[in-house]
Amino acid sequence: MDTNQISDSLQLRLEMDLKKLLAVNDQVRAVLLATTDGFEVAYCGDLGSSTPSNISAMTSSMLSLAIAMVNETGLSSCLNLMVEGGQGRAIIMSVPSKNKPMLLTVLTREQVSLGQLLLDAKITVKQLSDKLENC
Amino acid sequence: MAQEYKLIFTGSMGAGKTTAIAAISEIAPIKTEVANTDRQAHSKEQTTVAMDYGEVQLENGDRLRLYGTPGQERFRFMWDILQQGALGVIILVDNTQSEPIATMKHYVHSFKKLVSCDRAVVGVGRMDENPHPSLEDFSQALEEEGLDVPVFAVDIRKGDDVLLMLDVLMNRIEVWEMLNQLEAQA
Ligand SMILES: Nc1nc2c(ncn2[C@@H]2O[C@H](COP(=O)(O)OP(=O)(O)OP(=O)(O)O)[C@@H](O)[C@H]2O)c(=O)[nH]1
Ligand SMILES: [Mg+2]
Repeated sequence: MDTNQISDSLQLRLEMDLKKLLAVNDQVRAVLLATTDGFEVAYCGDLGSSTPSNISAMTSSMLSLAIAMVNETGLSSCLNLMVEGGQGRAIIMSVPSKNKPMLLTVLTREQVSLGQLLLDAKITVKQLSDKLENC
Repeated sequence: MAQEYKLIFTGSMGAGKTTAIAAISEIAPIKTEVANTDRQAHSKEQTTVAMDYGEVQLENGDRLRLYGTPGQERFRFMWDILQQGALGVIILVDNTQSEPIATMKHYVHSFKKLVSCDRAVVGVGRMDENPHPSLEDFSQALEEEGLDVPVFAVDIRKGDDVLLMLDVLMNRIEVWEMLNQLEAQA
């Protein structure tokens, strides 16, 4: 992405929101923010052997396919996608914004209380969304 | 008996993969386009992030399932996923972009398995705006790599141009399969 589109200070404030989620819920292993077309914006935590740029591109592809599927089957709009792995989950959530729509990816540990996690993640989405809307 | 074939459209960002599939698909094409934030790479509004999908039926009853790849390099993992089980590849080039021959070679190498057994065609777009390199230059570059790949000048917005490439590609695939059968019998 043209990095001029996001100021350093906005980038820092977005990163703070990610760090807050990581701190507030100990089931969260990593949090990553990317543009809808798959460029990394910020991340924190442990991405395992992967890289933020790879995960950014992959989540972009996956959510776009989920959206295509939802359109195809008349399920209305798709906001979130969950992948259940043996060692934890990946949750991909859209971060709505008129100018800068983004994707939040949350990687969890193996044991996770889904209700609390989704609640915490939704708060983060709202915080990110507000910042992106008013920038 | 009528058969189903999976074909891939690939090539650089903005070469016209999404446009080409939309130009010929008989079903409403499935697209995965989102807002393009990299206006330095290309000025267009939207870009494909997972795949395109369309279908065409040929006169002999064969059905072609058409998959378009994302053009941008960071979606390379999709190239590998999409080419599984594919029988042929159409590589699109935009002749107004910089280094079109090097770009073509990049996709040739990325889809080497199909290209090296003659299951590929190259379509060069916007030659009217930029006639150089010429079709011969593209052909020569492929020959130098020991590859036999037909090269066409196309306007991928025109269904007939896209169908012509598919026709040639399907003929080559057929010849390959006939030769394979003969070999198996011998
Ligand atoms: N003027 C002109 N425009 C063309 C020609 N060929 C293709 N285009 C345009 O070029 C653009 C190609 O865009 P896409 O079909 O999105 O390209 P793509 O290969 O799918 O790109 P990505 O998905 O981003 O990798 C479209 O807007 C076409 O209308 C041509 O010969 N002349
Ligand atoms: Mg496309």
